[in-house]
Amino acid sequence: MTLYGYAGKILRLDMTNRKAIAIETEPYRRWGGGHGMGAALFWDFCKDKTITDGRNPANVCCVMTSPLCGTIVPSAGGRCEVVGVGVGQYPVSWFTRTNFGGRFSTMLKYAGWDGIVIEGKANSPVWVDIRDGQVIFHDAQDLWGKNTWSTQLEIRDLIKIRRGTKTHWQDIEALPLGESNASSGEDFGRTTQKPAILCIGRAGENQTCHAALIHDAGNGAGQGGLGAVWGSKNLKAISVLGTGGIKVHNPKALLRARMITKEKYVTSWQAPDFQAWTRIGRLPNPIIQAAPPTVERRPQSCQGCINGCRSRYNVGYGNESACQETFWYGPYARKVAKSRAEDTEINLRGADIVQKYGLNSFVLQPGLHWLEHLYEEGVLGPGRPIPSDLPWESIGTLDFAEKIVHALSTRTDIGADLADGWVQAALKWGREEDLHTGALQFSYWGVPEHGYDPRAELEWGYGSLMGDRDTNTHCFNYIFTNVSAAFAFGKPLRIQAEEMVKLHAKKMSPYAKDRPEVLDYSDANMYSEAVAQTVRWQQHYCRFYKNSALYCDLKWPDFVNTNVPDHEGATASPDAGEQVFWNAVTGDTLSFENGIEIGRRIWNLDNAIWVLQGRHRDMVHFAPYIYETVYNKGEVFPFFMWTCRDDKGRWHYKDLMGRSMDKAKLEEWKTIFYQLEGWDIKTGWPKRSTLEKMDMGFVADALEAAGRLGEEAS
Amino acid sequence: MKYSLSQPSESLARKILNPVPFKDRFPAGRLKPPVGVLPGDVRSLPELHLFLEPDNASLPGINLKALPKWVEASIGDKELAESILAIVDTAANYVEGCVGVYEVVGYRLDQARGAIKETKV
Amino acid sequence: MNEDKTESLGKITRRQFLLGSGAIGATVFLPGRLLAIPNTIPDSKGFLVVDLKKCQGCGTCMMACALAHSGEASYSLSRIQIQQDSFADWPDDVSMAICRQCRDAPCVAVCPVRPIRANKANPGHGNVRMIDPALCIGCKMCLTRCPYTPSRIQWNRDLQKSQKCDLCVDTPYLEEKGGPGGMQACVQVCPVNAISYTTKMPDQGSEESYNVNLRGRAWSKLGMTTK
Repeated sequence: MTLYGYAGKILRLDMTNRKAIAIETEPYRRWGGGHGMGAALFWDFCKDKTITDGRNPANVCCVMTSPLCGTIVPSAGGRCEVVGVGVGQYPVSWFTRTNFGGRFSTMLKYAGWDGIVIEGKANSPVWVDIRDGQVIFHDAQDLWGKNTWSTQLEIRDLIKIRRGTKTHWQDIEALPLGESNASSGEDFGRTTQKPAILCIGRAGENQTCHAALIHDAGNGAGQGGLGAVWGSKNLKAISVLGTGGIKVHNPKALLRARMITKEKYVTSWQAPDFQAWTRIGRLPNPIIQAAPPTVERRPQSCQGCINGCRSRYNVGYGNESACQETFWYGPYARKVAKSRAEDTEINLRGADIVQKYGLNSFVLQPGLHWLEHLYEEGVLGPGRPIPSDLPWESIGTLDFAEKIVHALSTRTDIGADLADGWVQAALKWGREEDLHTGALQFSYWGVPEHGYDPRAELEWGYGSLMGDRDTNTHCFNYIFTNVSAAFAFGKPLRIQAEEMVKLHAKKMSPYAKDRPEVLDYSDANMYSEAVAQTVRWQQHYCRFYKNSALYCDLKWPDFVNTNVPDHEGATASPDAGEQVFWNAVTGDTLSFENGIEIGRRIWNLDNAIWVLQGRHRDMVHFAPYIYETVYNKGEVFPFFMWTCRDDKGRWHYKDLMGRSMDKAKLEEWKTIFYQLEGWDIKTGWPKRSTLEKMDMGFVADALEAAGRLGEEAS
Repeated sequence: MKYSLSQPSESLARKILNPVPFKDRFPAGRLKPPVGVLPGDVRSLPELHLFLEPDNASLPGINLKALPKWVEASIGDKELAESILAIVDTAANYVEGCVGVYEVVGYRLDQARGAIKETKV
Repeated sequence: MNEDKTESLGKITRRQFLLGSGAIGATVFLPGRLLAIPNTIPDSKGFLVVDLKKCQGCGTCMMACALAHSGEASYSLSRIQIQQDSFADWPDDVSMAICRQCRDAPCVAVCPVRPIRANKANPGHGNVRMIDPALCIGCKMCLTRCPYTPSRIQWNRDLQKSQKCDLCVDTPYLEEKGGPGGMQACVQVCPVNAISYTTKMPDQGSEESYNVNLRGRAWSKLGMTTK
């Protein structure tokens, strides 16, 4: 039976015995791909799901594609999901997820694999070399210690990949270091492409929390510390060359939907709307904090993307970096830069530093702010209570940037304490007060707040809290950014509040369909059942469409789109919605709502794993400052605009700054959430009845055996 | 002359061009979608000027109403503080206010640099 | 040259016979020239041109090409090849390899299949140089004879035949008609319009003539050079 969209096989890597085992994808098909499949594989192959440190050899790390990878589904063909127990969260490192883009998932699919399951631990460093069906373990002693870019270049040289971009076809059978018993005479594949390599740098080798997995120059799986997991398994890199292809169920429908997306939902090149309110419909522009360093550049994107979010330049730095890694050093670069050009260069070179070390720079956003604060207070520094010999007086220079990243990546200086968790380090240093005052803005699970305060952007905070990490899902977030920017410029709003919420609610089936009140974030509504439905919808949508089908978080969902006359975006649309592409590739006949339901199952499986790890509702709390202080970022941004109803039920955009979270009311809200999810309200544990309705009785059995099954009566 | 700011003395010029202690820093964030609202601060007028330089990639986040008080108290430039206050009070919107402050701070920095140069000569 | 049309001659296959009889030896390859002996293939009515400075490296053209022709998304089956290097700087980080529909197409000249070449200028489709998979014997002569890097001919491992860009003439999975005057999948799907179709033959004496400037006002407004 053809599994359209799938390669058909999953690769298990037994790191302990350096063996490669192929298993069938078909039994896992019900989970879609990506996160869903990865969680199901973790469920099956992790023998001890109570572990709470990802560096435990029992941990299983899954690197998963989806049926859409390697196809032309817009902004879904190039992502890759990684799951496993994380490192460095507080108080528990949950089973967690991270995601990266580029060419890796495409190449893995073309090599004939839907995903990789990494189990056990090698007794010395290795790198894994995948060439279509061949899987070879190589010794990686000579690669260990190299940065992520050098590692990739070295691997290319080791397997004699031709340098440059105008190179001949290469027969992969003829590449060196292959299996000696590979069949001769059989016509192996050939390619013009460079291998897609995913690797760790020194941060991962030293198993530091926030260690990332890096692919090419600027694709990073940053959150969760999965780079440290690889380091703990002595896995330096996985290189993939794939010369095959993926059969698509209805290529005509796929091509048609792709063309429709470009012609209808994306602004035209001939008469572009540069300020369009849309997620999928803008023109390619690098999301870098600073102004681009030069006009001599191109847009750059993941495979299959409809408008790239990065760039490659002719200046020798900053290639493929985008978003937060181009601004982690911004507030400090500004202190030394004499011009915008110099400011840009420091920021982009700062991005290169974290890419090469393989360190997730997000921790430095609020984290470096906190460390600077400690230094300036006289608490941290040479000979001080928190000893550090880093050159703090030169913060803002590239020299300091390299030194702090080096320290964090090598467990030296303050990195020795921070490597196992920043909140843990704060407690060790006697800085618990910083979690109460907000000096250390790590608002959930010991990880940094994202820049969208939980007291304002409710679905972000609640979704992170009820999950395992900074949710980092921008489904609704541009309500804040677009509207706040319009207010800032005094420009007319392209979409008024009432139309905005109605357009959203139209697509938020089944839980919130045509219920615009779910996006009322006013004080009166912030602890409501309606908002709980938004959080559920977001987590379920993301667990399937974004984390499993692998639609890119930057482009999807597309609720509103000013390129379309009625402003209805591509999401759930009958001509180019998520389900249209899924069905064209796989041959399924999913409705948009069916996808939400699959997401709900995946979310329940995740929760079951967390419960086995020890989760209980009593642990589910924000950091103290969320309750004890007021969100007063008026000092770092003037307003936080969102859709709210007034006491007459009229919709407006309102500024949400100036409030805190009420702990008792949050507890009530959690109860509502658990009820809606069908979980025991006393514990937050799933109930058997809920699980069995989703064909997950086996999960209920495991929870019951562990004494952690939710009570039905609750 | 666009701004009625008198030429600063050398001592005031040095204050205008140099950073204040950390405890006197002025909060200054940045809104950069999709990264979010990013915390930070400014400790000098040259830094403030760079911070407010318009670009189409992000928005500065600053309390313009509180800024004049900081300029007067921490930098010690009363004249500039009054100019900023006048600009902020009459700006049609936040960004117009930021641009107006950027321009007057730039003018003042040029004056300060000129004052130091004259002294050296 | 034996013009016997039968598929096999006793125990020797047609392919082996043609290879062995030196039927391919009619052309001479000289450095700096495509062919020593000029060919009389009629010119193609259509050509692809590209802008190397524009490509965002998304590979959508490659995947769409393979899909339109074979129903399978694949790099190796794509008749346009985008090669990129993350660690190189613009503009040397990307190259775009399109078939040039050469005037004196060496891949056509070298095809040993007779009486009708497998690789030929197809008069029914604007003289597009295209390979008929029903006639191709898989000798790979065209593949090795293409003077460009990488070869603009691809090897289809499953069919054991050569294939090449046909300007989307033979695209059973494209709803619209392809070929000269029709749609080309890569042109349509490219998110940045880095590929264009033209009826004007680029200068055959220049390697760079197929690299053109497709960047306009919108490109400049996005902060990228139009030079």
